This record gives sequence, structure tokens and C-alpha cells, in this order.
Amino acid sequence: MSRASTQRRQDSQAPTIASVVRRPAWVLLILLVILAANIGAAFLPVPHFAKTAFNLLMAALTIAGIAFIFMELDHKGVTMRLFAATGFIWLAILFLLIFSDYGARS
Amino acid sequence: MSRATTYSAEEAALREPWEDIARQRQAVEMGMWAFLASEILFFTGIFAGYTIYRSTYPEAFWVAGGHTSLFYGGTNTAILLVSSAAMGIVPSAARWPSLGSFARTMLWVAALLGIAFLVLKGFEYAEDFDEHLFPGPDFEIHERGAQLFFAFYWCVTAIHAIHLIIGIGLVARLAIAGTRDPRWFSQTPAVQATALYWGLVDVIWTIVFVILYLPGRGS
Repeated sequence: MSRASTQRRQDSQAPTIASVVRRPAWVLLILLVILAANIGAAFLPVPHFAKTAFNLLMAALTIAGIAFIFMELDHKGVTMRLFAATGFIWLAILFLLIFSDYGARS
Repeated sequence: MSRATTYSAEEAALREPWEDIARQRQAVEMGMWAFLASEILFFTGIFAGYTIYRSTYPEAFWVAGGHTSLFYGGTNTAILLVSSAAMGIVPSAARWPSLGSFARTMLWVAALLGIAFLVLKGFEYAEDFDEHLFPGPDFEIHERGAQLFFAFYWCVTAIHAIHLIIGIGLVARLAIAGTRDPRWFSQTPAVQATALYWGLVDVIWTIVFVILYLPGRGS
């Protein structure tokens, strides 16, 4: 098959701009709503601990959206996801150790 | 016909020691995730320090957090999210020659939003200096421990800005190289690697925003 015909075949299979943009655009909209909710929640008259916990939960959701959709982790196999998770696993271990000390102090 | 005019897109993007582009792409992506894990670990040290000092001086960190600019922080968070969405489109669009120029446009959109972030950060820093929020003898907040909060604020935001500047450079380089050689652009793993780096910059900022800009609001 000639290069020109291969090129034509590829172009005929190519998605449209709208189909490539649709999913990231929806996820962006959701993440912006989460951001607005996070900012709004920071002003609520509730205990500091509850606000911080909610803010961190919203941050975790945002990071999941960025990692799985914008960084395309949802398309990847187990090995790649494991690689991607390593940094967060180390982070979790470190914070577990920190809170096992500081969380237990009066 | 010369080789320069006959080489395929895969040949243009293939580098030693890999024998095919699929393996090269997988190796680059895995290497990039390993690098990002080391970056997360680097920032984790700073976040761990923040957590320990916040548990030591909870009220001071809460009061100091109320002095950061939620307007600049929130706007910059939104800007980075939009830039990440633009960058998230690039890998899936770049592999199709007919969407190549659209993918490169998205790269420029992300880079320009990154520059907008830095410009706003510059205004924010100027405001912070005016309000004497730089740790030192003229520091505005007298609560014990508040200077520590702002020491973290300046360090983390400056290190993040350095990462963003590197990201803008990588994105611009990719867009320029892709315009020069669209066939290379359609296959090179550099697209995926750059998009992953940009994602990390946004992931780090998401945490920075929550720990530095949201405390101390409301009653």
C-alpha cells in the first residue's frame, strides 16, 4: 500500500475534534465545580478539622480526575497504574508514620 | 528519492535502543511515571514538614492561611485546570495527522495559560511583599508560628513556579518541533511524556492550593 493511501486511510479513521475534546471538557467542568465547592466550603461555620478534611477529599477527587482523564491513566494497564501509584504509596506511608506520632499527641 | 522524504512517521520518532515505537512509547511512559513518583516524594518532604508544623502551631497556621490571596490562588487553580484539560487532549489528538495542528494549538493554549499563571503569581507576590508577608523582622502577623507558614508558602510556590517554567519550556519546544516535523510529532513519545509532566504540575498545585489558600477562611 502506498504512503499516500495509508495516509488517506488514517485520515478517514481519525476522530473529529469534537469527539476528542468532549470528555476532557466534561471532566474540566466537573473539576471547576469541585474547585468552587471547595472554596465555598472553606467559608462554612464548621470546625476547622471538618473543613480541612472536606478540602483534602475534594483535592483527592481533583487529582483522580487529572490522573485518570487528563493523564490518561484510565487507558493504561495494571503495570503502568502501579508505577503511577508508587509516588502516592510512598506519600501514604510517610503520612501514616507522621500521624502515628503527631496524631497520638494530646 | 532521498531518505529525508521517504521515512515514515515511526522511523522519525524511533530512537535507539528500541526496535519498535510501541516499546519505546511504553518505556518512556513508565520512566516518566517513575520520575513523577520521585517528584511526588520530593514535594512530600515539604508537605510532611508543613503537616508537622501545622500540628504544632494549629492556630497560627489557620490565621496565616487567611492572609494568602484566595482570589489569586483560586484563579490560578482554575487556570491550571483548564491548561491540564488542554494538555490532556494533546496525546489523543497528536497521533492523528489530520488533528496534528489542533494538538499543537492545544500545546500553545496550555503554555499561554502557564504564562498567565506566572503573571498572576507575580502580582500576588508583589501584593504579599506590600503586606509584609515575607518572614523577617517586618513580618505582619505576630502569632507565634505564622512565619513558618509563610516560609512554606514562599518555598512551595517558588519551587512549583520553577516546575511550571520548565513545563512551559518543554511544551513550547514540543510545539515548535512538531510544527517543523509533523510526522515525528504524530508518533513521538515526547508528547505523552510532556503531558504527564504538565499533569504533575497541576497535581502538586491542587495540594498546594488546599493547604496554603483555604485555611483561615470564614468564622
